[in-house]
Formats: sequence, C-alpha cells, structure tokens
Amino acid sequence: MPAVSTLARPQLDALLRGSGLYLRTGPFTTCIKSTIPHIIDGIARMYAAHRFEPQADYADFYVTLSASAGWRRWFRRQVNFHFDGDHPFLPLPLDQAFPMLEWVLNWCITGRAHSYLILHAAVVEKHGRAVIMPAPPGSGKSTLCAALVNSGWRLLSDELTLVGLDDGLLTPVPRPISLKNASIGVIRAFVADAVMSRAVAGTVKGTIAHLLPPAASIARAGERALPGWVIFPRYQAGSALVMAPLPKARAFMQVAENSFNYSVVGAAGFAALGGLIERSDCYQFTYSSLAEAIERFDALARGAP
Amino acid sequence: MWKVTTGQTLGHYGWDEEFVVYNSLSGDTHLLESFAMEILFLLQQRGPLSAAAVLDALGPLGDTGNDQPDIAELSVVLDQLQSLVLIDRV
Repeated sequence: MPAVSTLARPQLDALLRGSGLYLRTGPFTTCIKSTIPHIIDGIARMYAAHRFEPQADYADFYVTLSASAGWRRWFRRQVNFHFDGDHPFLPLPLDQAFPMLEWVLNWCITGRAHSYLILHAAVVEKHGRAVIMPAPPGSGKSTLCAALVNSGWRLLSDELTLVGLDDGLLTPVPRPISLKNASIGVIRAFVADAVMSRAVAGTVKGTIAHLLPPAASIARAGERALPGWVIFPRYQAGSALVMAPLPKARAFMQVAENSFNYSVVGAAGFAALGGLIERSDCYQFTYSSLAEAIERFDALARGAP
Repeated sequence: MWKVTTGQTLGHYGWDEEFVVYNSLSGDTHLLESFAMEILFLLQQRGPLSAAAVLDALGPLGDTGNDQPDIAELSVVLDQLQSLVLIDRV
C-alpha cells in the first residue's frame, strides 16, 4: 500500500472530493470523503506517512464531512458529519473540521470495533512491552504520551487501547496525538522539531492541535504488543515524581471504568481485562517534569522495579 | 438456606486478598474482599447452606486464626451478595 505522501495534492483532492480516500489506520480502513480544505490540508499534513488503499472496494467505516448548505454557506459556516446516511453529530464551526475528523474516527472505532476491548487510554511500547495509561481528560495523559513517543517509545495510540478479546495483545492504531490548551506549548518546547496541525480555538475541549505521530510508529502499526504496565498518570504542577503501586483488583475496576465497550463485550471483556491486569504491574503516577517522567518510564522498560 | 443464584458462573480474578467477579446475569463486575469470595466459593461447591453452616464451614479467618466472624457480620455480607444477585435464598 502506498503512503498518502505519494499522492500529489491534486490527486489527494480528487480522491477526497470523489470516490474517497481509503485510509489505513492500524487494522481499520476508513473511506473518507470531504471537499473542505481544512480536512484536505489536515490529511495531507498529519497522515502523510499513513497508507491508503488505491483500489479498495471495502472499508470498515464510511465517513463524509461536508460544509453546510443553504444560508450557512455564507454565515458562520459549519461542518457536518455523515455516516451511513445518518448525521450522528451536531454540526460544528467549519474551522473545527479537522478536530471533528479525529473525533469521528474515534467514534467509528469505539462504537463498532467490538472484536476488541477498547480502553480510553494512551498506549506506548518499548522493548516489546507496553504501558497502558488510562486517565480522564486533563490528567496529562496525551502530553506524557507525546513526550514518550518523541523519546524512543513507540506510539500505539494516544487515545484508544485495543485489547484483543481472544489473545489479550494490544493492536496499534497510531494517529495524530491530540493536544489541548497548555499542552500544545509544552510539547512545542519539549519536541524541537514538532510538526503540528493548525491550532483550533473554541472547541468544546478548548484549543486543540494535533501532533504528527512518529513515522516509525506508523510503519510498525501491524506489530502488536504485550501489555506490561497499567499506569494512571496525573500531572500536578510542582509535585515530586511518585510511582505508587496500585492493587490489581482496584486497577481492574478503574480500567473498566475507562473502557468504551466493556459492557458491550460482556464476559469476553472481563476475561481480556483480567488477563491484561494479570500480566501488568499497576501504578498511580504523579509527575510535574516530563524529563523525570520519561526517565522513570525508561527505567521500567529496562526492568527496574 | 443460601445458594449461588442459578446461572451465575462466578468468573473471577483474585489478587492480594481482593477479587473481581463477573456477574453473568447482570453483566456487572463486582470488587469483593476475600471473605465474601470464600462464601461464594463455599456455596458454589457445597450449597445450599444455612448461614450457620456457612459460618461453621468457614472457620476462623486471618493468619492468627483468632478472627472468627459472627453470625451478624455474616448476615450483612450474605444480604449484600443477595442484593448483587450473586446468591439467593432457597
């Protein structure tokens, strides 16, 4: 499969405006159609290293993002999301079209990919073992994830951990990393050559920008990983670094609360999560310095307790 | 007399004296201490049993063997397990 970057801009435009771009993200193929320049620009910039299927006749998800018609064409323009002939989201300001695409891609996976237990968690890997980081918004999860994957860790996902129901392995779905508000500046300062999408202000989550995922992580998207650790991160300004063991049964319950489809997949999800916790050391992790946090994670990957 | 609710499979994982149990009737997952889990195991293997028989079969708890639960404590746990539909009265 060729990379999106092999398409000249007019070709990419033509695909997105016509039959659709069959974009491969991890195990999923999504047919994306859009005439919105923000979407086309965003895909050209943030999905350059991702693969697409030039001759596809099947996709897991079919999504169309279009600008509003009628008087909305002229006043406070909006973006609409169409999915299988339905409009599951309210329209958003046109300026938010690329963040909407990212939310839509998450929504497609979390609502339909039930051959996995899907956790709301970042997941990164080093030396064959993965750290799963479930955490609510504002915990610093994506910031820490962005820093780690620019410090030698492999990105599986900044948002969705896909746990195989049959074997418990973690399937990567590396996509742009969503950064919010102050995190954008933090990562710009931390990653010297950070490539980001245009920052979009005024979303429901504040200002959002997406960080280009490492090309090496995208190239290894077919390589699943074993779980090694479940770490609940919490950024707390000025705090000392604390890595406190978390009893496994408590960790199980907290991870289950951070799952998108735990109740949907039933007993198979219980078994998969139990296996994941069994294989993992579990911690609460408080940090204020990214450099210190990475040093601690590296020590874990080297086998330090 | 108490028994495990018909249809409950009691799928579970246990770590460090705490257990997570899958409720195969409701789809919920419960976090239980070892005392509650021992009751479930006992009823699964030997139920139906009266509260007194459960107490007798459990014997002393804890490392010292001096921590004998009383019938009142047991009744509270049995009622809680019943409220979760993990066990039922016969």
